[in-house]
Amino acid sequence: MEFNVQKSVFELVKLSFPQYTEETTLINYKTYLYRILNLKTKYQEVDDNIIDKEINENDNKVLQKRLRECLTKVLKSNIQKNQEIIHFIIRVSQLGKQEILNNSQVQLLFEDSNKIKSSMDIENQQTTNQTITKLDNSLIKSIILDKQQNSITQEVNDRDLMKDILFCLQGIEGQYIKYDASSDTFCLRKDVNISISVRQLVNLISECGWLYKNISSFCQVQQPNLIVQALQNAIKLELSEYYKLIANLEGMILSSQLITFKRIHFHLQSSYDYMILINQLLSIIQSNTPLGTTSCLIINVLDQFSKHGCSHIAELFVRLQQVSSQPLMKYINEWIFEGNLLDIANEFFIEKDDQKAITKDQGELWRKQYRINYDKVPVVISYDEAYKIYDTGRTINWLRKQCDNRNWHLKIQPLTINMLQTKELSQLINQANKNTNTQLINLLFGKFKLIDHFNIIKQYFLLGNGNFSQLLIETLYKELSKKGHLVYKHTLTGLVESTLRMSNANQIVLQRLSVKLLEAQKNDIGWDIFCLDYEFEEPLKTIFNHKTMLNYYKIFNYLWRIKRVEYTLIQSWMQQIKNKCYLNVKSNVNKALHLSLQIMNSMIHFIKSFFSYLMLDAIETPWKKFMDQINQIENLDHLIQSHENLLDEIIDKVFLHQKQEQIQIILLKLFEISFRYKQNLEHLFLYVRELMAKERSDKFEQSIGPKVSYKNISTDNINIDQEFKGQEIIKLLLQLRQMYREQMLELIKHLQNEEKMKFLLLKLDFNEYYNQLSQENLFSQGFERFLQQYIPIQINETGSQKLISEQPQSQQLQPLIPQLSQNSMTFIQQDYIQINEGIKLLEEQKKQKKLKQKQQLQSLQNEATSELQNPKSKPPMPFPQPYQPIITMRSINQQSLIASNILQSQSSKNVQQQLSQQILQQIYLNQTMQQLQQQQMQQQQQYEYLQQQAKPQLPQKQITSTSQIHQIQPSAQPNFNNSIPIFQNQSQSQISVLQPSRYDMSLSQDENLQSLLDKEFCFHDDSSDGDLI
Amino acid sequence: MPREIITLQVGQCGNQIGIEFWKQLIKEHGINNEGILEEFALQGDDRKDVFFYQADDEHYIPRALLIDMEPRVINYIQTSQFSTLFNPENIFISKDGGGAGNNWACGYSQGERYQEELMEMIDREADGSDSLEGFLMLHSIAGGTGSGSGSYILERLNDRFPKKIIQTYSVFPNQNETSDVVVQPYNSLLTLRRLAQNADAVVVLDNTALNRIAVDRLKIPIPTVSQTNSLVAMVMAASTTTLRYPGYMNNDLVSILAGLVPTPRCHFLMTGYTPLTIDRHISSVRKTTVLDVMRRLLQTKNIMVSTSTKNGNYISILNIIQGDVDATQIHKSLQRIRERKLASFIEWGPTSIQVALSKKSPYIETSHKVSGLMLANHTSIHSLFDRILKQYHKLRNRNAFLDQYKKEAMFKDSLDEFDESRECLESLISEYKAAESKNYLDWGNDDNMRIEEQQ
Repeated sequence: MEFNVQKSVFELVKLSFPQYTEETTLINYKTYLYRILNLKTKYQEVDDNIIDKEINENDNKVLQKRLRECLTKVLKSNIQKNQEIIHFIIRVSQLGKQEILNNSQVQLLFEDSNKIKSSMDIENQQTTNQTITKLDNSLIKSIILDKQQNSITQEVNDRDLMKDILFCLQGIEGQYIKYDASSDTFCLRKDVNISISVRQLVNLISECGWLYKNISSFCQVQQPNLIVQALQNAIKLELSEYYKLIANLEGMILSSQLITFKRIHFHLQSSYDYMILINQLLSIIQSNTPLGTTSCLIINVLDQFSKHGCSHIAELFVRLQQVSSQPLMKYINEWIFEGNLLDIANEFFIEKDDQKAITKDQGELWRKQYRINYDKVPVVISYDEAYKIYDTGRTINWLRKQCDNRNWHLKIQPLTINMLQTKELSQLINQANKNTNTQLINLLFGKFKLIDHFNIIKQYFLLGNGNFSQLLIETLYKELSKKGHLVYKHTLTGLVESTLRMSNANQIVLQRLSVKLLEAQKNDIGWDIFCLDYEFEEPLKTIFNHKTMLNYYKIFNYLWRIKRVEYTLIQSWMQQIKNKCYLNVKSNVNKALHLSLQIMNSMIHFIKSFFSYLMLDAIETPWKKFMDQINQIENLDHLIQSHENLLDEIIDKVFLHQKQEQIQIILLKLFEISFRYKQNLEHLFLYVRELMAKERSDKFEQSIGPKVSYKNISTDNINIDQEFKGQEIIKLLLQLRQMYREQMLELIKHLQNEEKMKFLLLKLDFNEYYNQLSQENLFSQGFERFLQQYIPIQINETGSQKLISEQPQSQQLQPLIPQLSQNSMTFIQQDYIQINEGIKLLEEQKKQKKLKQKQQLQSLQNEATSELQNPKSKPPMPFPQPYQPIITMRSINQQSLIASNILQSQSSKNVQQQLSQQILQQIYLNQTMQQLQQQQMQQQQQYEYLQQQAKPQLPQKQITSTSQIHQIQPSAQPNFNNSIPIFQNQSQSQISVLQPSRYDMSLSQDENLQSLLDKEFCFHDDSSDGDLI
Repeated sequence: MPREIITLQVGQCGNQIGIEFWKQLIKEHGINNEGILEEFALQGDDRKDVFFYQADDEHYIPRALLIDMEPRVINYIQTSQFSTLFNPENIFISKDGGGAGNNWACGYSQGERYQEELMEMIDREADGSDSLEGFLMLHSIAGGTGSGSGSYILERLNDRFPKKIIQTYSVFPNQNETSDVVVQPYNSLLTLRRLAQNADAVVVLDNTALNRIAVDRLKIPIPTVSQTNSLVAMVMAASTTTLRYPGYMNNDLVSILAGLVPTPRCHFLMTGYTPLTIDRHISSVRKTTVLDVMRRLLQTKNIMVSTSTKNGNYISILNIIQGDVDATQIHKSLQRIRERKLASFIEWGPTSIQVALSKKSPYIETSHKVSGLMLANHTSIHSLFDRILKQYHKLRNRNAFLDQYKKEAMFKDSLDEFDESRECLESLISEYKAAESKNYLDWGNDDNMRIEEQQ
């Protein structure tokens, strides 16, 4: 039963729809109809909405439309009965049907419907059967009747049809010509019996009606866009021609003039052509509505159409374009001349950004308040022109609002539509743009004194005013040396102001210049956070915006630090030059002074050369270029851009750029060393003064007589103490010099890699001093490199053993070196490999040594002048034989350093700690030695014998500081492993007179200092060794 | 608050070059002979208060002390067109007006005699300045007052103002012509000791070289004193331009000298100036590019000291370039100088030709675009001292002309002062000689250090 119903419905559908309809589509129709039927006959509960939804989902638009129509009709018809359903189906099927059903078909349908009927009306078949049949009959009859009637009315009067056409032309359905929603056309009713040619003609004519309907519906929609409105108006205007034509046609028809469909069609021909294009235009526009660029599109499309080959059509569109471009021109004029945006519908290509996020002090007002939307620029205006229009209006706006210059007006004629796409337009725009920009630039340079401000910035922020910076640094020196959080803005502001008053600063500077403190971080002192500040107002604030000012702060702070280094060094110079009387007084004082002079000179040379580079090359040159540019500046953007370029260039050249971080670090280290030098200098002079005072008192005592003999001991102690103090200062200075040189060489290495830094390099190393130094340095580092590069790794133990036994009197340095290179290389290499294992051992030993030395020191302090000391404990390790000459040399150095380390003062701790990182590689050498020592115990006897020899030669008493160090070396060497022998002679005991507490420091710095002092002391090793042997 | 500098003009020569110097300064600052600022100079951004102060009546008064033991030169100044320029309180003429008779000892003892008055003048002037930078002394080392009294003042200044810079412009006698002052070598020697010990920087102005320059460069057959003096004034004015027309560097005396004087005793500076002009005598120099100027400055014939810079080394050089110059020109010049090795430098430390750019005075028309002054510390200056020492020995070996000296208290008992001064000068000479070697910095130290450096 089910099947039958389905099948019958399918048949019905198949019949009802055109034959060319595909099978699948038919099935679709069928299912829908079936479901509709089900719904309506309440067989199954199907919700209207579901069907509705399903229809919507269908992607075939025609199908969708038809089904929807079916559905609406079903809904409207409120069908209850089978007959009605069948009737309905027949009706519905007629919607898309071309030919009229013939009787047999109806009969077939009827049969089918009977089947359906039988299947459907199960419950009330008896009661209603009769009525149904009746109804069925009447239905069939009516259908047939209907058909007959249709064929009867086919004879339509031409005139009536023409009248109908008149309606149709105005977009209204007539008696015969109906609007077919499914095909979205006007067409002659199918049941109108008329010759096919006429039908076609009528349908053709009625297309005009459809076009008109479309166009007029577009014109009736309310649009906010002025350009769209203008277009609507323009189209309406054009339609009046069409109305006139219709009126004419009507007149002709009514006056029964000889008129044919063909004639009507002919008359309509030109309107038809126009309307087709207009319609095309509209469809393009409407399809783009969501992009928001409708207005621009209209003009673009109109422009395109106006270039149509047909002159009439082209004219039409030129007319349309002119009208619809009116609002655009109005916008442009208002914008160019007044800087106002009239655009309410967001259709102009210049947009205002009303976001509150634009903060004034960021300088973004100028840049971001208005912007140009290139999507909205119509083709009639080139991008260049559009930008100039934008720029002009923005400038005018800026002039009015920010520069308070309301009375200035552009003196050019307003733009008109006729100028579009002519040279005249771009000329005018150019002129307007030029005029406004000139006005703005003039205003900036005149009223707002831009150049003055730039000069002030250069004078104060870039330290161009050396007078002021000199004064300021003197005034602030003390204040800024305080800790960062102890530096107060108001104090500094006061000081800066008074400095300004003292220097010949003008009123503007006085009012605007102030102090800015950067955010203090831990360990920052005043110098790190101090910065000048300068107050700008709009419009200057746009040029000196937040970003650029940050750069200025950065540069100032940096220059200021360098200035501080320069100032500090010049103070040091003053101190030295004013104390020249101390020179050549005492030999070790002299040495210290000379050393300090040498360091100071290289520092002064560096800082002066560097500062002059900064000022002349890094600042003055770009600045000069910038000032030249400024004179030819055309607009504010250009100005801002060149200003930013200037700052970028300066930042790059003064090494503040991120990529130059390495150089930056080296520079900071160099500065730090300079400050440390100044500290050391203070110590030095304190010491010198003490020494002088003591000497004077000594003389005084001598003049009094030898009465106070008890004082001798104490003065001796003082002597020793001061002797060591001098030593200590020399050590510190040597350290500083080494550090300084290292950093300088490093810097020069970096600079050598950069072509553009050639001149700085030239300045820094004009007499190739550092160049030479670096070569020397390479030489002195020879040992490690030598080992690493030239010795192949070969483990050959027997060879090494043999070597050891072969070596006699290995303290002799010079003769051994060739031997070493020939025979013992593999051995050394092997030791080298073993080094790492020895690290821990070494450190333990060092701790032991330190402890013991502490004890020794204390005991020795009490008996400083006593004779030779016996070791209090035996060394934990036997004396090793230093067969390896170079290593021996190193170890001796180290020993001498241990001695010197005792002398390190509190103040040097920092220095040493900083250095400790650099020294790791030095550990290697120590360990090499360590290993060697362990392996060569059998030569210990030999060594002890030598030591015996050496002892008598060592001076017993007062030794000058320099010789002291060197002379202890032979005996000190074994002490590297055990602390005892260091105290074997008098000179040793003198060295150890120092507070043991300081000794803690010495361990970590051993290697470090060794590295520093290698160069200084290694020479003496062989000389003293030679003495011994 | 400028860094004020007080100028002391001592003796005949000192006052003569002094007046030329002030003439040049007032011209450059647009101040007229009475000390009143010319109208065209009202807007200047120069620093006049380094060398001048303003009196109550807006007169600019030089911070200068005019000191002489005889009235001739100062009287001349007081009657000249500059009579009202100087503060009359700042003029000192010894009461007896006898002068020092070209005797150092006499000048020295006169200085001692009038020390109270002199020091009072200096103190007053020093108190009148906010932040005194230092003193400039103009004198000659050969005569009596400039050398003797000058020496005394130097000693006192050093005690009284231990933290102020003392720079001298010292005129060395012409050694080519026989001088009327036979005791020149004595005076020079004794003064040199003070210059070495009590001055922080000495700008050596060698009359021998000045004459040579006037003859050779400016084609003046017989240069007058005032002509050579105006050369000196030109050099002095140029060497102070960076102080008076501040740029970004070298704005005070200390920073200029710090770069020039690496060790305290090697502080005798040479000068060179190009292109030279005196009145209508314009040197033949026509083209003045930076390179030209800098190259010419290194030529011995342009240096105002009669030693050959071909021997020895430059310890330091500061070129003060005036005119419109940009950095690239300087770079090129420096590079060229290095490539061609136009100057040899010491090896014991980094050094270079420092270049200070300075504005030109807007009130003086010059025919040259660029002009330059060189201040240099060169080791060959010892040959100048050598000559003085040689001449001294000649006299001393014969014990000639010592009577005049023995009259004064200082030499009454012994002539130790001569010997000490000789030692001092000898040590100075040997220091300069040592500075030519690589190991200079250990000069005067024990042997160990020297060996160490070699290593």
